[in-house]
Amino acid sequence: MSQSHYEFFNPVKIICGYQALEHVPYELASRTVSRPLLITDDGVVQAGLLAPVKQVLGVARVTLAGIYHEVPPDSSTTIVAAIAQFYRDNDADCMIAIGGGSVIDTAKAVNILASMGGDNLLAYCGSGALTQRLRPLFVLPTTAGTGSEVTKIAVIRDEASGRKIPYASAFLMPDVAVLDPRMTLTLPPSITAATAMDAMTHAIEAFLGTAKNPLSDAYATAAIRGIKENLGRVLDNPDNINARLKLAEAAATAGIAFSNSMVGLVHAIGHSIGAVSHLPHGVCMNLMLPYVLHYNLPRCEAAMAELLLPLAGADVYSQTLPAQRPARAIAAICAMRDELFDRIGLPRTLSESRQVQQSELADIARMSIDDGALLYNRVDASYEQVLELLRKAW
Amino acid sequence: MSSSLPLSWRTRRLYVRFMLSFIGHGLAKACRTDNIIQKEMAALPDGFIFTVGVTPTGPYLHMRKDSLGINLCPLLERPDVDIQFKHLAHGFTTLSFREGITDAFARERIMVDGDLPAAMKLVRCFERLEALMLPKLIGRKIMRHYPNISLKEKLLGALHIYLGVVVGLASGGLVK
Repeated sequence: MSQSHYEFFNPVKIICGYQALEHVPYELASRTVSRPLLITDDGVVQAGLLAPVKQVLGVARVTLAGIYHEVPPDSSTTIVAAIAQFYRDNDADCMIAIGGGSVIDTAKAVNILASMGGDNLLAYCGSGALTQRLRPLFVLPTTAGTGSEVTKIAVIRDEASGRKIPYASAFLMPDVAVLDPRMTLTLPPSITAATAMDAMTHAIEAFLGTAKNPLSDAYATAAIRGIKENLGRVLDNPDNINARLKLAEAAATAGIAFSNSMVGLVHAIGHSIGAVSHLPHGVCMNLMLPYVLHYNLPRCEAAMAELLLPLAGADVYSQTLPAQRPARAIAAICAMRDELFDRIGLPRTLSESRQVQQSELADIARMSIDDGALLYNRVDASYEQVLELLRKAW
Repeated sequence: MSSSLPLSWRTRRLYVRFMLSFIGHGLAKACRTDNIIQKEMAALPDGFIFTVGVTPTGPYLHMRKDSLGINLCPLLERPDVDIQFKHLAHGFTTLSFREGITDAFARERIMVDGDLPAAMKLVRCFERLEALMLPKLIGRKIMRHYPNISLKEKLLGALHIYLGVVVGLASGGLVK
């Protein structure tokens, strides 16, 4: 009998489209909460994205418990504890996170302390520490990439050790994710492209990994198609609301896929490059993706062949011999990266990034093999193999 | 162990107890005799504690690292890494080598709490133990990558581990 087994869970209510923001007051009321704490960062405030949210809440006479707008790009346990105290001091009864991955992860972590009490976030790290529902959390993503609005994971830096600690629990999943095109409209092209390639990597690794399953496959292929079809349209015309919305949708779809089948070696290496060289996560993903796909190819040929369909469309897929489809799928990714490099200079190699030193490669490789994502990669990788991949990506 | 359990489950629980003890004593010995496991363990701090077991009622293997190596211990404080099979059936399947460790993770049979980088080092140690102890035919079936080990290295490694297990079982018995 086959040992096949999978689990799939996605309870996040996704509100997506034109005037989606205006649904927030109703969603608050339907969960019998009325004093939200807004958690965001300075970038969101400066981009003017807070104003429409405040207006929507004000019209519906929702009283804000407060606004915390100083979440840094690399949030920490100390910041989470400070926001949790701010939440208590202002008698908030729920949270609205407005921002990218760091803001959303911070809000998830704040929700742990706000719901469970205390200020020791580390007591809840790992995968089984949370055993009860948390306070309602509403998420308004302002980037289309991390997928954090639909995942059960938050990564927060421990101030004492400097290490990034993952928190994983179904209870961390937001109650509601609102995808409104107004929230991603001001995202600059370079960040739009890097975060979209992050989402693309989520979907591809979810589709190729050891924990893939029929449901996550459906989400992953839909996400790949959505990103492929709409990233270029957004870069052509950043004010294209429909394409922006499709990209946000695709990023959330990829998030659902990888939340249920995990990511692999691209992320293991990318997390380490980020930690050692402080290169933005989306750039790391864009950079390492084809090198890892080549590395995984011998054990993933059939799945990689299937990727050609969402990546290149039905015509190319049907005109390509089955044996050539895996290589053609990787070539399609490479062509996409070349186009992004030509248009906005998104780095394709470590040297092009100008932020990674060759002397750092050994540390990156050492850290990569200790990253949990490696467990879900179809092909195992040793320190030497990761180092070789990094040299190829130089 | 509840005597109300059917005999087949009592037998499986006994097998899981035996295999967890086997892994514990084997790892303790390999930590002194195998270079690769030695290197992985050296990266963990003294006082590091980990648990491998079956939730919620066991059996559980608890091990602690100190300056002399790694040894079985009673659980007196919170482990740094806690690896738990969700059910006795899952522990039995993995420990009877019908499913690899990484497959068990992919199929959500296992939960891990605590220090994930350290857990990755432990997973590599368990896979090294498998590579040394198991016939190549079985090892290749359940591992993503079967390492290139010479017959001499494999036989010597296995001999050390089996000796360590025999001595460990004779002096310490089975885990609870």
